[in-house]
Amino acid sequence: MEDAAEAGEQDGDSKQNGSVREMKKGAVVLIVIAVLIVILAASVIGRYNQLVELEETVDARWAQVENQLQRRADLIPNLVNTVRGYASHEEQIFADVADARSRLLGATTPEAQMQANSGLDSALGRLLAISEAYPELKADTSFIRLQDELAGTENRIATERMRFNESVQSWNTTIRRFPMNILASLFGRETKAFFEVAPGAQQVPQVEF
Amino acid sequence: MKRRRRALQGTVILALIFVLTNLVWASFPAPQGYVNDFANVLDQRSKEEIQSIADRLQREQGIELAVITLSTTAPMDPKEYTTGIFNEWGVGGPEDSGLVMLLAVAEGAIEVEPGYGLEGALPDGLIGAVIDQEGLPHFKNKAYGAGLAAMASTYADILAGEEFEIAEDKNDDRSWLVSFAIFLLIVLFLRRSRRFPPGGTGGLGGGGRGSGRTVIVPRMPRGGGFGGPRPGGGFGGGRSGGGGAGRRF
Repeated sequence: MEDAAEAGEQDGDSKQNGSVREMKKGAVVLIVIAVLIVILAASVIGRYNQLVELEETVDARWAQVENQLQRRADLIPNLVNTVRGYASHEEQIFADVADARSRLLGATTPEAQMQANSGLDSALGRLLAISEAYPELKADTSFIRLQDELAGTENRIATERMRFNESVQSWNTTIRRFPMNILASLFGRETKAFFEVAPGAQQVPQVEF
Repeated sequence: MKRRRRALQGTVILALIFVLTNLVWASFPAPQGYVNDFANVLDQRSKEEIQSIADRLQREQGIELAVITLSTTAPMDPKEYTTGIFNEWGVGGPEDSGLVMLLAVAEGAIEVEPGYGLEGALPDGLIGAVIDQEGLPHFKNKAYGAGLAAMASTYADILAGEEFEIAEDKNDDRSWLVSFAIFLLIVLFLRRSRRFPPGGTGGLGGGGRGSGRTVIVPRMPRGGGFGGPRPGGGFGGGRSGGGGAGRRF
């Protein structure tokens, strides 16, 4: 009798041990899953933040480009007035420049601004070209200064445009790479357009002597 | 014996990568101080004059002036080169208070570029006017030193009263030492791992990993300050947006 009871007790013990082991196994699996989820979530958060940072950089660089575009637009009235003092009958060119300028100032999206800017490039090119026909204008010190300001601003636009394009490139490369592309499409992020230069517009007006 | 040879090969490859990566960066020469007469066209007196103007600007107003002469800026055009070297050297203090004057002999070009912080005090029109009045008459007679010195002193006069935060002294030599020490460590690490080869990792695999690291290593001196002969300092990390004015003579 005693023997049998002991045996029964032992049997119960090992059964209990077995279910404890199973519970432990279940807990381990749960912990592993939880850890995996945490790791996954952390990496998603990290990558998302990287996206935000890159996009902010692109926006900031574009703001710098806009600054310089604005600066150039601000120079134009003075420039036109100076040229008008020597070459008052070139009304068509003055009208074209004023037109292109207001189109640039009215543009709201980056794409429209880029397009309006190349329009202004060509109008300004023609405005500066007529100075060749007026030696007194070419020698006018305030005209020379304005031309320097204009050339400097155009160089600034070129520099900021290059920096903007660099940031767009790094944005585009990042969101097209696996696995960032999944995350990017999940949050509806798309590649951005470069600020291309219209052919012939790279010519910065040089003040020659 | 074979192992040692592999280690040697790895070291040579690493050293090559180290040298090559530096060569690529050397597209802009390292600064020699405020006066960088790479074309060797400046007379001693003008150099000293520019040096003392630059010293005073830095000490009293936190403005960093770099004067550069080059025989040519090819394949870049002078303006592009000026903006590139300005930002590469980081001329100017924490408030971007730098001014670069660059003269390219072959192109017959003078470019003057202000950092972001000086754009207000030195508008492009004024920069151009100073080139016309102080620089060009000398440059046309090939008196490059006299022209640059006259321009530097005029810009200093215009900038009188402007004060900027002064850049902290950075020791260029130290940052080179750090990068070299890391390089040595990698070499040592490589040799040690040769001595206890971990299973299947071959010589090439190790070399590959090592080279992956060296790419990071030489970047350090670039991030740090740039050296000149003046004690314990380089330029302060100032930036420019590509403004300024230039002339051909």
